[in-house]
Amino acid sequence: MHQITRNTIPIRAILLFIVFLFNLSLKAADTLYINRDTLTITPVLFQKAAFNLDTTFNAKNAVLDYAVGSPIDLIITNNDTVTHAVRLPNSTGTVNISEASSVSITLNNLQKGTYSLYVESDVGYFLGAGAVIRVGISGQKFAWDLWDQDPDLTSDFGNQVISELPNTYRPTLFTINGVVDHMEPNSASVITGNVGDTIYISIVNNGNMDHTLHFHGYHIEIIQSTHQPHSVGWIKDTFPILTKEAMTVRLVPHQPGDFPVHNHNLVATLFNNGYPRGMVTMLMIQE
Amino acid sequence: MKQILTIWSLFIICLVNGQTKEVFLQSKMDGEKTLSDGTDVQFWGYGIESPITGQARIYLPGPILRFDLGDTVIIHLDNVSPEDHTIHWHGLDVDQENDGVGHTSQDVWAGTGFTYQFVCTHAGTFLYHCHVLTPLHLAMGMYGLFIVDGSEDNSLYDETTVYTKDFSFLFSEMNTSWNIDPLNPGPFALYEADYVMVNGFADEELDSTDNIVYGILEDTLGFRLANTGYGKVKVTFPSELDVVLVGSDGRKLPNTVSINELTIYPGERFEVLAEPNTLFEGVMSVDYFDLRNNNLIGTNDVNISITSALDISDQTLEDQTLKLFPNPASDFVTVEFDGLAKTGTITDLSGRLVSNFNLTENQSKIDVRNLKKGTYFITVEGCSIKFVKD
Repeated sequence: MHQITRNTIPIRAILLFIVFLFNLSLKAADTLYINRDTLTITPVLFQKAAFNLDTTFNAKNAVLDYAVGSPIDLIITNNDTVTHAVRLPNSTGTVNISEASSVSITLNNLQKGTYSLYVESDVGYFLGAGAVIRVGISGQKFAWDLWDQDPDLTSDFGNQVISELPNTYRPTLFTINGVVDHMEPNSASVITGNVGDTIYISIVNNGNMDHTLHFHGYHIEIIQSTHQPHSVGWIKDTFPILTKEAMTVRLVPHQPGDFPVHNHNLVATLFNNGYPRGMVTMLMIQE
Repeated sequence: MKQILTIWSLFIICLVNGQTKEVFLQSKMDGEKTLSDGTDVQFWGYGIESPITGQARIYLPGPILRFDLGDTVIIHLDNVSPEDHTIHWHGLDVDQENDGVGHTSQDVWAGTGFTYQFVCTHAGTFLYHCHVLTPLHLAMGMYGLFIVDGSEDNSLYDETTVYTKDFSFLFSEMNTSWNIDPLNPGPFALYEADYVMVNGFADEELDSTDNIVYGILEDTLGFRLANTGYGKVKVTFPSELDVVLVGSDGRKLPNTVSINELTIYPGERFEVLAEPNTLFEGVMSVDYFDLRNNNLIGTNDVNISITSALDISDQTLEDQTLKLFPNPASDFVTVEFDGLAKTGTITDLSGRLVSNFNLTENQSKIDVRNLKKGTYFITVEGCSIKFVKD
C-alpha cells in the first residue's frame, strides 16, 4: 500500500516556499525533484526530464538506497511546469503531482532488488524521468539508467505538441546515466572491481524501447526483474531490459581485464554517427 | 543449393588427441550473393583457408565453428581484405587479449593477421563476429555460429539435454542498400533492415532440401537458435512439437521451461529440445521486428517434416541428379549420381568432413556403420542430401 498526501497551491513561488517548509518538517523522508531542461551534447540539442535530489537539473536520474523491510518515505516535488503522473513501484496506479507541488508517499513491502519510480504521463515518460530505487543491495553496487529518444521529438514532447511515439520511431540518442561517452575511468557508468568481487548492477530502462545489453568477458546472473521474473536465476552474457523495466544483475568477475558492455542493437552504440558512443560502457576489472 | 558452406573446407587440424584444434580463417570483403528476390548484393565475411591454395571463399553467414567442451582452440585470422577486421568471440568469455575488440584487445589491420587462442570452458551456442565499426561490419555479414558440444555425445549441455538430431538456426538481417553499395553505407544510426534470413537463406530458399528439418516421431530434436540481427526475433513452434527451453548463452537454465514461442533479442542464443507429438509437415515461423518501433520487418518459415521413416531422397541440380537410399540407414547407404564426378563427401551438420567416397559407374555403396547416430550431408559436385544415420 502506498500512502499519499497532496499539497496544491496555485502561486508557484509561494508554493515552492511552502513545499520547502513542508520538506523540512519531514526530515526522515528523502526528497526527489522532477526537473526538466534543455541540454546539448555537441552538436545535438534536446530536452530531458529526470528525478534529481535537488532542484538543479541533472540528466542522470537519482539513485536511492534502502534496506529491506523498512517503509520507504519519499517526498516528490514537481519542479516542472506541467503535471506529472508518477508510477510507484509494485503499483498499478499513479500519483498526479501538479506543477510546483509535492506529495509524500510511502513504499512498503519492496523485496531485495531494483525498482523504477517513473513518470507515466507523456512528458516525463518520453523524456526519461525515472528514479532508481535500490532495496537491500549492499556491497559493490552500480546503477545504469538507460534512455533513448529522437532529439528532434523532445521539444515536441516537452511542449506537449505530441503525446505518443510515431510508429516510425528511430531514436538517434542513446544514453547511460544521461551521457553518451563512457570510456573514461571516471565515467559514472564504468564498472570497476577486482577478480572475485561480488558486484551488483541495477539497470533501469527509462527509455521508450526495449534494449539488449551484451557483456564481454563475463556472464552475469539475473537476480531480480520487475518485468521478466521468469529469467531470475538465468546466467547470461546478453539479455533484454524491457521498456520501463528495472533489473538487478550480479557479476562475479573470474578474470581481470578491460571489457566493453554495450547494447547489441548496434544502432544504439552510435552518437552523431560516431562509434562507439551511446549505450557502450566498460568493465574494468583488476587482478 | 550452394549450401556448400558445409564443405570440404572446414579445415581443422587436431594436434593433440583432439584437444587442441586449429582453424585458419580469412576475412574478406568480396562476397557476392543473390537474394531470394534476385537482387545481387555484396557482403563481407569469413571463410576457411584452403590448405592447398591458401585462398578462402567467404560465406554468409560464416562457417559454423564447432568444438568439444574443453578444447583448446587456436584460430589464425588472416585479414586479406583492404580494411581492418577482428573476431569477437561472443559469449565465450575469453581473456582481454583474445576478445577481438580493436581498442581494448588487438587490432588486425588490413593485410595482417592475428592468432586467437582460448579454451572452450562451457558448452552451448555462441557467435563470432567482427568488432570493428561493428554497426557496419556486422550488418555487412561478418558473423557466424560457434558451437561447443555438450559433455555427452549428442548433447546440448550434458546427459540431461541429449538429442537424436540437432539443428542450428542463425537469424540475421540485412539493410540491402548498404550491401548493394558498401562504399556508401549509412548514416549508421538510420540502419533499416529490409531482408531477413535463417542461416543466410530467406523465403522460398528455405524450402530446399538442405534447409528442411527432418525427423521421425521417436526423435528428440535439439535446436540451437541465435540472433545476430539488430531487431528481435519471435520464433513460433508448431503445436505438433513439444518444446522445452533448456539453455541460453552457453549456460543451462536452472529450470526447464515448456514454450510454444520464443523471443530472441540481438546477440542472444537459446537451446531447446523438441519432441514430435504426431507425424506432421509444418513450419517453425520466424518473425523479425524492428526493436525501435516493434514494426514487423519480415517473416521466414522453416519447414519441419516428421515422418514415420525417411524414404529415398533425391536432389537435382543443373541436370545432375543425386539419389540416396535407404535413408535413414544403419549399415550401408547407396549413392547414385547422374554426373561426371567420381568422388563425394560426407559432412556433419557443422560442416566437418567425416569421410570421402569414390563413385564407380556413378554409384557407391558406403559403409556407415562407424558413423555416430545423427544427421549428415552427402554431397557430390554441388548436390547435397541430408542423410540420417540410425
